Amino acid sequence: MSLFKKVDELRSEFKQALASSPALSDLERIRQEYLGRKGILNDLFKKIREVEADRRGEFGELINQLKLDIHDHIEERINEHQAEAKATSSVDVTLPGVRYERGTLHPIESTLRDFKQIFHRLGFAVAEGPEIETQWRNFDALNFPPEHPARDMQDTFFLMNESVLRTHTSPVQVRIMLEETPPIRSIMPGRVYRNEAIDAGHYCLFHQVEGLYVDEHVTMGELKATLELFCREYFGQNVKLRFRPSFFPFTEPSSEMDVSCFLCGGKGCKVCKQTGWLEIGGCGMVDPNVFKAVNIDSEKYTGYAFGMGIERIAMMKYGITDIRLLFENDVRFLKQF
Amino acid sequence: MNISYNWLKEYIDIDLQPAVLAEKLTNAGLETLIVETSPEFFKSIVVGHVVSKEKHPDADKLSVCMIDLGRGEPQQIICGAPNIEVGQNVPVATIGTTFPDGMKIKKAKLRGVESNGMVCSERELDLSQDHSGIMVLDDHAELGMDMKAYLSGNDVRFELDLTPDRSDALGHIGVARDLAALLGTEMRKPLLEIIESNTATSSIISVELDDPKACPRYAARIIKNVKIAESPAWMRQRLQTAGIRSINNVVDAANYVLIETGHPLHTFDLRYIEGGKIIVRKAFDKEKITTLDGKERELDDSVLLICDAKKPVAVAGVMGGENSEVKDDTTDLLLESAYFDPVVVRRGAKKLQLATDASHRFERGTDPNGIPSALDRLATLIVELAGGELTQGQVDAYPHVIEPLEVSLRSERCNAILGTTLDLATMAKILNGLELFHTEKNGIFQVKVPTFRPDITREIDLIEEIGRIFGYNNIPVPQHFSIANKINRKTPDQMREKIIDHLAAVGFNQIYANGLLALDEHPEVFGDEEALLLANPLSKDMASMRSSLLMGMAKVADYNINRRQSDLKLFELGQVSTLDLNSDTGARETSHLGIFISGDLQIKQWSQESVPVDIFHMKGMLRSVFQDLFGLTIAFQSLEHDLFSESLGVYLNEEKIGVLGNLKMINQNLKSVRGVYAEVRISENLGLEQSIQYQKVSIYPAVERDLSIIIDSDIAYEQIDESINKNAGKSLLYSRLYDIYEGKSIASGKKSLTFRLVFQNKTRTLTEKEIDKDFQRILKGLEDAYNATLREAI
Repeated sequence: MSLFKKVDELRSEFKQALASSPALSDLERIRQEYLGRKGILNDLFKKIREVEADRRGEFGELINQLKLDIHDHIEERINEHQAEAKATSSVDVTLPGVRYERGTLHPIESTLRDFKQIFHRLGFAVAEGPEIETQWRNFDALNFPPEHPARDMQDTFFLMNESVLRTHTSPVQVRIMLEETPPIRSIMPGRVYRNEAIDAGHYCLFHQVEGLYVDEHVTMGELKATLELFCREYFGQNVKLRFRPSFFPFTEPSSEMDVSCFLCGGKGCKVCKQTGWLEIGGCGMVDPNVFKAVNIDSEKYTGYAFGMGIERIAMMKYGITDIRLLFENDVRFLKQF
Repeated sequence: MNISYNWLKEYIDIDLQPAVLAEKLTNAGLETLIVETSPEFFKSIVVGHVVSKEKHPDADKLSVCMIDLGRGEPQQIICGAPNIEVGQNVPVATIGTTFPDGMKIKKAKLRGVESNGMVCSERELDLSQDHSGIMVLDDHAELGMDMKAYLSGNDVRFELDLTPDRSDALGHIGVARDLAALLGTEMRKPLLEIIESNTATSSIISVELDDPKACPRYAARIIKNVKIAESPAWMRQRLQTAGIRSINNVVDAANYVLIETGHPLHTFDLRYIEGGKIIVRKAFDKEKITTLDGKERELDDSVLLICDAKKPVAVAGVMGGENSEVKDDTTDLLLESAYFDPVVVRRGAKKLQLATDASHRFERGTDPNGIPSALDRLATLIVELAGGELTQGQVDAYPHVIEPLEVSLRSERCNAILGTTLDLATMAKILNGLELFHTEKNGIFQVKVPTFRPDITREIDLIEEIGRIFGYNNIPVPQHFSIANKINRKTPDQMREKIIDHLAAVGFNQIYANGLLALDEHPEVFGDEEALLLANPLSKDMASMRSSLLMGMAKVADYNINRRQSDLKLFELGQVSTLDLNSDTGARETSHLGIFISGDLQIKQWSQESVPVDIFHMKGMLRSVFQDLFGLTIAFQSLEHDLFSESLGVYLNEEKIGVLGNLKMINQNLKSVRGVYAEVRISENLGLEQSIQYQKVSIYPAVERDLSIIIDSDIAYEQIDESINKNAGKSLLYSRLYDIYEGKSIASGKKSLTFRLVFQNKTRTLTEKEIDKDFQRILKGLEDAYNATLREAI
């Protein structure tokens, strides 16, 4: 076998030796084996004289290159081992991760988002109106007679100029019915004000979501279906809904809606005052007098409307027992949502 | 309003569990709760009969009694009360009774003699303060009956929370009527047997209606020679369950008829009615009357008065006058049954700041045609309880008869509104049950609406009645429903959600602050705002509407900082309002975004230093909101502002939309609030659909060059930045300031700015030569304009 071929063989043998990912001690052994004083490479150098004179230079270069390559490869592997060792030994990986603080949506916002999302799937647009309203839009157009108790100073904030801070989001109904033609299908979220003493259950302002659907052939059965679907989506599939006749000037027939208490499952507890039911809002069929005020033909069109208090539902959902917490905005409170 | 179950049974045969009855009424729109009238421990306190009484052998004041508890042998019970006697019925706390204070009744020996219970005083049962002796029960106490049953007369109290339209249900008869319709049974009204004397009522009294609009009907009767006394037990029992205090037989009778029929009635002592005349008229300005509660009240012409020939004797529909009150020695009575205009009574009650059982009902509308029967009912009841002779006939002033309304109801329309398929017979039955008598032809009912239902004036009201009695919960729910083929997309809402999500995603906490502020809490953030004032504020602290978000934000910041939460990143997106005389509400409302940061934006961690907040964080945040979310470029311009130590105006398309800066102290109450605040108007059209068009990413390498220059300290960054961009040529991708240095090795009055310049061409690789050329041009521009010099490498 020619010595040239021997060099090629040595190169591939060395590659194989490294291919098995030798440990640090093995690398030392391999180094001795190839590069040691009595190593293979030195043996080879001694055989240089056996090569024909005119190819000795070529052969010398070849084994020199092999020697350098072997050296580099072994060094590289040793470095790798050392880096690995360093990584595993000197860094305390139990140190805490760098903290990324996330922000939060206010619970009123997130509750409202949930509402919007569900109603959006049911084809409701979102409409808005101002917080300061004329008495006409807040009361008259909504069929509140001039002497209605709801207009009392006890309940309504008046501005110096006779405008009112809207007491409900229903004036937005009036606005969109005047602006648009049926079919109208919108929810109307917003801030409303009541002139009530502030305590754990009451605040001078809160938020409502109003819903309105005006079209031909809208029925109370459909109103029930829509709200049942909403309640199942929001409160859970097993929730039961109850409709109780009630009175609102702007709907006729009018109804309160209750959901079975999701805390006790309807058996009766402190939160539902032993009744098994939680009141979540009011609803009904749009009163013909409202249609008259906004120039919609109540013989051709019918409609339903509903309204819910966001704080009330957020409080039930998150177990908040004092409405003032929602407006205090303690960051330790906010960061829980 | 309270309803007694036993009383209700007078008018309808029912045998429902109280809870079932309450649910039925609730589901028909009369929200009903069962009210516990006595505490739970009364169940173990029973009626005992004292069989024998002997002196205790070892104690003078104690008696050894044998008491029959109605079960087994009489029990030996020791009693210390002086008034216990054989033959009495007494309340006995049996073994095992636990009183609210924790005291437990056990078998015990008192001075060596065994006692198996305790005879109770009224104070021990918390019924009164009387502790002079044991409570002695009256005759209707049955042996072994518990105190709960004894006190309630085996009755149940229902509390009805009625909606304002249902004035007809403000009495037992009205509730019975709804129940009859619900159960499909008949109800009955009290039968009256009227025995009158020969004297005509009209010979004693006449009635004049000065204002027939305010008082369309006034009827009177007279009873002579009554004897005022305590009411019998049954009457006191009923009134107690209804929550009304018993006064005497005459007053109680009037209250009884009120609670029965819903008709408020009044009784006068006839001897104080002068001139044989009742005049119903408006009060004069500053006229005075002392009402039954002993208060003198000054009136004006909003108040309707009942007067005799000389003086006012009652405020119509609200409260009687003290001068004609029925007293213990009253013998002759004038009974009033009248119909007053609801609005007139409401105004009168408001003027007097009084709300009575009577005004409550008159305000909601009573039945003008039920007046004679209510009056007869009262008259017969008084004669039954207090004796006396009823004079002949009623004096009934009723100049313009109020006829029942005729309302038609299309059965088809009813089903179309409710989403039902009710047949004519079902509808007819419901109508009849509610005494809504009618004729029917071709599916159209002609309904004569009785005057006790002032709430029913239109077809839709009748539809509600059908739905209510049929049961809203029985209305079928369709398995499918349609939605409109049109959705109006309102962008402001989606736009705001985008902003809120963005800020929350980068670590900000959203707040919802109270928007009502004190008059002096309107720092001029924008300078042009005029706050709107409330005419009737809840308190001085909340007398106006916010014209900016700053105050609400500052209060929240203060609240948190005072609780050692001082690294704050807060924002609010809300409405603010200012005076605007061009708007029909007198107000202009806009959405504002307020952002507040304080303390450290990033807290110190083991691997990184803390980053305290500064105005540049705020600049960057606002830029990000407008640029990243809406593709809009905003500009900043420094300005002087009273609220901030360093401040900038924020501009969008040359229009000033906000400010930002380092807050100075806002006021003494908010001393703790230091931080950076920004507030910008978010106009409605920010969110116009931003169309994103993909830009091809250059495949040619970007080349970086650092440019470090020395300039005068007072030259603003913006000027340098502008100069770089102006002179750069097309290949400069961007420049980024990454170091500012003043101090050692830089001459005083000078500063060094270091920029990283990044060059790239979209179509080819840039040569060194080209980049050098651009670089030199930039430098030359800076040298020429700002006398900049290239800083030597250190």
